[in-house]
Amino acid sequence: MKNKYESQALAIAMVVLVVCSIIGMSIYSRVAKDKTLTIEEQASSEALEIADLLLDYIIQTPIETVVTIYNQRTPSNGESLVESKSEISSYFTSLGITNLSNLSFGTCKIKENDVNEYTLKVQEADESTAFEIRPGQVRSFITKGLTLSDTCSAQIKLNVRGENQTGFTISKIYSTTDGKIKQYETTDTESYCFSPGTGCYNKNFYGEAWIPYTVNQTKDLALVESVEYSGETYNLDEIRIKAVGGTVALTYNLDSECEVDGLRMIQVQAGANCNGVYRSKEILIPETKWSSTIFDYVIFNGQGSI
Amino acid sequence: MQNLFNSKVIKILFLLFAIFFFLGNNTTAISAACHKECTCNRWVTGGECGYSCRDICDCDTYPWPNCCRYLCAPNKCCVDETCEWVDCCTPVACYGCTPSCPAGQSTTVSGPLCKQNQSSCTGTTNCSTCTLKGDSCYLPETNVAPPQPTSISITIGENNYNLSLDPNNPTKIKLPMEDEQVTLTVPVLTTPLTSRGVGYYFRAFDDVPSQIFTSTTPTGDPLTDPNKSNTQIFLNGDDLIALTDTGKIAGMYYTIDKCDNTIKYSTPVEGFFVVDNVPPIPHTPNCDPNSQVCDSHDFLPELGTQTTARGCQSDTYAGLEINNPLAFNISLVDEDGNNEIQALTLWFHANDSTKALTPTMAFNDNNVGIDNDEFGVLIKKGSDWNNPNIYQSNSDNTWTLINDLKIKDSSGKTVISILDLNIDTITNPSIDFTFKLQFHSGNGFTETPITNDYNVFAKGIDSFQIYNNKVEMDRLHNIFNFGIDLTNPTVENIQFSVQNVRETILNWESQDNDSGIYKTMINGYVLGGGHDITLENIGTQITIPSSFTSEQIGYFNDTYSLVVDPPDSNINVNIGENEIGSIDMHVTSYDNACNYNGASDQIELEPWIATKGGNFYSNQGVKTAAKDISTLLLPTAFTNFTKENITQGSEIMSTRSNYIYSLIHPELGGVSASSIYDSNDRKAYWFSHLIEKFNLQKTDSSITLKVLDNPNDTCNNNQFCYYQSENDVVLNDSYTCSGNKLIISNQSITIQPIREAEITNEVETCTTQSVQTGTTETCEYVWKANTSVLCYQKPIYKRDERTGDWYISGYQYVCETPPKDDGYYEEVCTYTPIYTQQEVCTTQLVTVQNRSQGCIYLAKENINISQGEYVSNDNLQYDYMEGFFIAQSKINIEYVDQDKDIRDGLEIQGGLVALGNEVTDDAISINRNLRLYNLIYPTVLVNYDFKYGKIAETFFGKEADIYKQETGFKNI
Repeated sequence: MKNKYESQALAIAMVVLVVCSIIGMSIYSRVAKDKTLTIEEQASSEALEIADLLLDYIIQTPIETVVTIYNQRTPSNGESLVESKSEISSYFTSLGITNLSNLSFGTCKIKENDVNEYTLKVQEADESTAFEIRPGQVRSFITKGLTLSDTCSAQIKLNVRGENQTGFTISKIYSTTDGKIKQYETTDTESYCFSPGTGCYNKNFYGEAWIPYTVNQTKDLALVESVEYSGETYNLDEIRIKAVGGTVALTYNLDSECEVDGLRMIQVQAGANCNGVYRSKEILIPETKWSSTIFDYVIFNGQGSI
Repeated sequence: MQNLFNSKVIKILFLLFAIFFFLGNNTTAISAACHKECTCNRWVTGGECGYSCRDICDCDTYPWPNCCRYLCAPNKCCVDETCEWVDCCTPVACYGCTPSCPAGQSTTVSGPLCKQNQSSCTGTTNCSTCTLKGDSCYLPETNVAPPQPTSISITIGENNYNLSLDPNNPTKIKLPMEDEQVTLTVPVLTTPLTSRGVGYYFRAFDDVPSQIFTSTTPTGDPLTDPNKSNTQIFLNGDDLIALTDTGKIAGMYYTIDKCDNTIKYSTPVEGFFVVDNVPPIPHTPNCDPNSQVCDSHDFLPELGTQTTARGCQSDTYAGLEINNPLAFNISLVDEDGNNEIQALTLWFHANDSTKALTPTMAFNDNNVGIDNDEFGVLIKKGSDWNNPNIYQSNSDNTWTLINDLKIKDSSGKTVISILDLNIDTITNPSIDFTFKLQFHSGNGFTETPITNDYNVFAKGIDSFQIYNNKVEMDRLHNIFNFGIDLTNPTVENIQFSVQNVRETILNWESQDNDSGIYKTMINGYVLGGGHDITLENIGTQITIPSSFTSEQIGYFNDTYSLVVDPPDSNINVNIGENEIGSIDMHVTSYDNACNYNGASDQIELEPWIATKGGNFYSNQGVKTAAKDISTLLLPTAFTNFTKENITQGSEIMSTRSNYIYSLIHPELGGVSASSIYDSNDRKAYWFSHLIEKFNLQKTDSSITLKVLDNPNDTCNNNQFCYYQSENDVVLNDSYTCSGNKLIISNQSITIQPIREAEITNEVETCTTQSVQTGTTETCEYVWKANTSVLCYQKPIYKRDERTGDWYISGYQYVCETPPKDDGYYEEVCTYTPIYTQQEVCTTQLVTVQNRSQGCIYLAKENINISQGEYVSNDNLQYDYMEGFFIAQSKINIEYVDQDKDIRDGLEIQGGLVALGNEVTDDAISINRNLRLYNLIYPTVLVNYDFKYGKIAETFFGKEADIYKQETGFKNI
């Protein structure tokens, strides 16, 4: 009888031991995985933040400077810079950014033979790259001062970002060669709304002058145009595309006659690889800026009614 | 036997021979007693007798003296004979008998028609027999007077009455309808053998008695006698109508003599009748409804006692709210006794109806619906008057029983309801009918309501007027006239015609095609203005205090309702000193049936704004919509606008609010959008952003920005100048917008409009010119020959040969040149100018187009646009100014020209941006007020100008929105 009890105790003890081992291994495994995830999450956040920071440096730089440096050094197919070779720092220096510290941040420092890396890609945006225009904001094509052939045109396409309850306006500004601005005429502006074919998606758009526009429908914009007004000839100065009611995304393609400096967009993509997790952001920089949108208003009543 | 036979035969033969002999010698038989014998003295043959004698002398054909003589022989003619009478007898007048008539005839004259042959007998003349004639024979007259007719009857239309022969118990007959045939009848009489024909003769007498009718006098000729029929038409039924009491009709037979046209009458049969009295409608105190149209009050007891909820009364119409239901009170009385009264009919005949009513209307179970122009109600006695049967008329002129007391149309919907029917046979000697008719329209009732002006007829119907399942409908009396109108009038097209800054004419159009417009009530209420208003129409004026806020619109007898009688359709409204808010004008028109309709409109006194070009954004939308003034005749008052393009926005109008007014001129290309988020709506962002951008521009060496010590300092053409202050900036009337100016204040800017449609600059123009800086003098003596020519009149002398004296015979014009050496030396100097190239600058006032230049005003707090030079005077004009105004808080367009009747408006070429930072009311506050001209003129007009964006590029630089967007991540 006594031997019988001892063998049973041993068996029970063995079972308990095995079960505890399994539980312990499970806990260990989970803890290890969570730790890995946490580390990865931290790395991801840091990578995104670094990408954001790199772009901030560029945003704070005058566009004209960015464009100048781009024109000076960027080959036609763009350039990709890595900080492990201090290329990004060098690039920033060329932009005139003087308050650069060592571009190595947080736990995602650039170390030799480490996977951590910062990247910066600068290239000309292609026709599929969309420029987002937020409601009330403008993307303008400045043609004044550019040497364009008479048949120069841009094929634009617009898409919605978010709901399709949006629209956009296209306004044209003309001036004489001596800078005299043409008086406004109603034909200088056209209003478009995103449409399923007829009418507007947005039922709060009123008036028959809304021109239905289907998503990514190609619209040809002549960039060289002249009009007569009060006996004088006015040339197209600027085309302003303004988003109404929501964010629209503009893509465009220029005719070969139009591929001149001044109408391009520069795509800058900054990324960071931290502990194997890569995040990146990009910005689109128009080659030419335009006047502030606040001057597009005949009436802006910011409070109450009028 | 044989012998007898033989003797008879011989006698017969002898008789025949005698007869033939006698007849054959007839002519000579008489002459045998007395005859002529002739002897021929000369016979001829051939043509000696003047006629060709024939071979056979044909004495019969050619008697003497032509050819054959009396004597004749074969082949010869006697041309000369001697004749003598031989054996003659001298006859005498026939005598020897008395003429007589055949049996049944006599010579007694009975009549020409019975005349036969003459009486006669056979007499002798002594030579022969003869017939002796006497008087004519006549058949005897056999006609006798016929018997009396056994009965007599009168037939009136479909009704036949056997008249009583008892004068004390006359037969009651119905009153004939107009044009109804009345005939008299007696039993047929067979023509007796004793007469030549029968006829029937009638006479009628009234109760006077006087003969009122008689048959046509018989002719006595059975063929043509006018009274051949036993039934004759009473020639004039109206004569029966005229009888008021009893009458009689006598009917007689007559027979016609055989021998002449003498008529023999029977004893007349007399039938007695009394014409039924149709129950009349009793006289009212002032009217006999049986012969004239009376006042409707006589039959409509509640007329004039009702008033609608709004105080309207009508005595002539039933409408939706008045006289509906319409109460009737009609009495009937029958002279013959009210028991005879069987029904009352009430009939409505539309004034313009041409439909003829049939004299009778049959009862019919088939309800085809009423005719709205001709309809009636029949209240008929049932078992008694407590259980009447009610009938409605149908469009096919029949009556249909309606058990539910609802008169229906052809679709079965109720047109009229009969209410509160009461028939009183007790209280008064008459039978009094009281009931109500309720006229319906829509809401489950008929869709074609009764609406017209009606002649209302009524008639009592007694037992003589209902027969053969029909009712007599003639002799309806038009007892009164009344209208029914269940349609509201229309009021539309309210318009204001502004006359001056305080007065406008309110026009409207009211129409009612049924009963016509009765009155129009005008009400006006001040909302927000705080001052009284006056309404006036042709001498009637009411003042409505601003405090009056009654909700009673369009009420009669309201102190604050202006009553307008048709056909007037306009009044004058004087808004007094009201300048803000609105004045609600209500027009309520009533027709003669007290139906009403109304319309209203507001005189909006709030200023409104018109823009052209550019984006229009207002956080909470627009308070006062733009007005369409394109069709108004307005004097030109605008600089950059026409009345055809006055609209709120011509590009895109947007608002954060969920409501926005429609554009009044969408054809200009403008669109609108509500519930729109505009990312530029950042109240505390723009001022600091623009200042930051401006500061950057100031450091840009490629841009020349001239600092102004004073905003009034001149900024020349194409220059960019700025004035910046930490304090308020006040730009008075000495300020000019020249060149491109930026005025910045960390507080507020006040500016007054200065009319500078074009910029006039003092422009210094420098050019390199060749300028005379001096002269060189060169002198020399030059021989001046005397080249003057002396001309004079040289006398011509002649010698007188007689006296030898010289005399001047004339003159000769002679010119002499001086000798060549006559002259003098003169010093002649020549001056040669000296030119040098110099820059010459001239300063002149140049009017330049401002299409590329302008002024921008940027204030951290407010921008106040104050009063400019008063330009309106007799006609509205607008202060004009150019500029782009950006205020972080408010833009105040101040209240100006308070003491002026006609105040200046404000026209701006540029833009107004008020961000509303720390503002609780409206960011752009328009306080200018054109008084009543706000109704037709915009107070502020803003014409967008692209140039300010271009000018702003220099002051604030350019910008582009750059947004970061993630492009995704991957785990390497």
